[in-house]
Amino acid sequence: METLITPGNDAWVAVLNLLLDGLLGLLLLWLAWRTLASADLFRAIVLFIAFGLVLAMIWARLDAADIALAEAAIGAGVTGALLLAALARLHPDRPGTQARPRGSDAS
Amino acid sequence: MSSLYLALALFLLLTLVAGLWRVGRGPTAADRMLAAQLFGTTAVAILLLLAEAMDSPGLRDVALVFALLAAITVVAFTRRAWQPERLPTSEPERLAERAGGAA
Amino acid sequence: MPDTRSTSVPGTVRARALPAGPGPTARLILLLLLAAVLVGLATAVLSLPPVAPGLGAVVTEHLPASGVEHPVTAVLLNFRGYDTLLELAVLWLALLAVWSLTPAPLAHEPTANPMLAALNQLLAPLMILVAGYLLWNGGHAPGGAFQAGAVLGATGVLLHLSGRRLPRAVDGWPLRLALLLGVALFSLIGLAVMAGGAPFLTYPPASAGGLILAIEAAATLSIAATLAALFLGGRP
Repeated sequence: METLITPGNDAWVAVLNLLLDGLLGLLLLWLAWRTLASADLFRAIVLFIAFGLVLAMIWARLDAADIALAEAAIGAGVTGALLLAALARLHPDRPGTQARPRGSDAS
Repeated sequence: MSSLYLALALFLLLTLVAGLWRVGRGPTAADRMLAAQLFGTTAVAILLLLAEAMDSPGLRDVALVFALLAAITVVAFTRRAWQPERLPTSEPERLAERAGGAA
Repeated sequence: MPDTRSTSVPGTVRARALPAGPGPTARLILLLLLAAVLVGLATAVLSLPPVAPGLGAVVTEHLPASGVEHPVTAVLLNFRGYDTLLELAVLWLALLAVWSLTPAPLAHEPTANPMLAALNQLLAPLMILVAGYLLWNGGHAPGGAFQAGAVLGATGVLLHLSGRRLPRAVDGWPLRLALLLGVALFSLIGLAVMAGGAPFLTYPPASAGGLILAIEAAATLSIAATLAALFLGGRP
């Protein structure tokens, strides 16, 4: 990386930081818009999962590792699975889903 | 080295943007879900690069959590949301359908 | 190409199912209202001082007395412990609301999956280990009860998805106890320090580290139990 260790290195880093942050910010806004505007609920869930990932990266860029960690744990571990399970429960009668009796008593 | 890490992170972010095309296009739910899984892997790589570039070791834990929990969403998907409309009766038929869907 | 989009997935709500959008007049009013909000926000942001003083210096100054080395944990569990206690209560209230709506659906998972069983054997112990690591990390680095609880709760979600169920013996009061433990221990310690004349939730600096770790461990368990129970989608 001899070519990068030059007097212009700081300028490079500044440009790259700007590009990275700008792209992350635009991506987050675009994902938020698509998630809300999507008529297909499943696609909205997938976009929401991607939204959580990009949000965690933005927290990381803001040097807020604590919040990035919380967003990663909640977003990847719980929310995606919760939304998918809720979607399956919303439409139990549609063909292609596992029939799950709604509100039936387990005990 | 910081600029190299940042450049690589930027490149990986661009591949993530390219992956969004697959989420939008589909055509099946599994395609969209797998694209989201791919984003998880990309995010792990980006976070590890950022941890070096920004000299912030805490970000490695974020990457660790992402890597560890990536499987949960796809398990929920296969167990709850996804079931092929018409179950192909045999493995060759399933492969043929997969090939047809990709075309 | 035939329309195969998402046919294999439930909830493909077509656009026609949505109600008609607002008329042109309503749209204009909405646009004006949004523009007013935008102008208000922009004015508020532009009137802020360029460099906000913040409370970073105050936190750094009092960090040695907090019992932990990580400023975020010091703020969350010590300086602003009241907020965190109420956050735990909010999470618990959310679960109460879900439980009051419906009993958990009869969860009959499809046939046991050998691949899922192998994944469980590999992932579940690792996730519990990482949850413990994050909890311990909270004292000096990013991490803490909420993150650890989320990872532990995700373990519960994974086990539930692969068809494992809580034994009958744990289903009743032990589960309720786990759900309550965080708020209960937090409040008890907060009240106990008042016996020494200190205000609510003001730990003595000498024992603050141990008390915070105890609260965080209990909170981790409660958060994990709450998140996993939320995934059940009803009263067990």
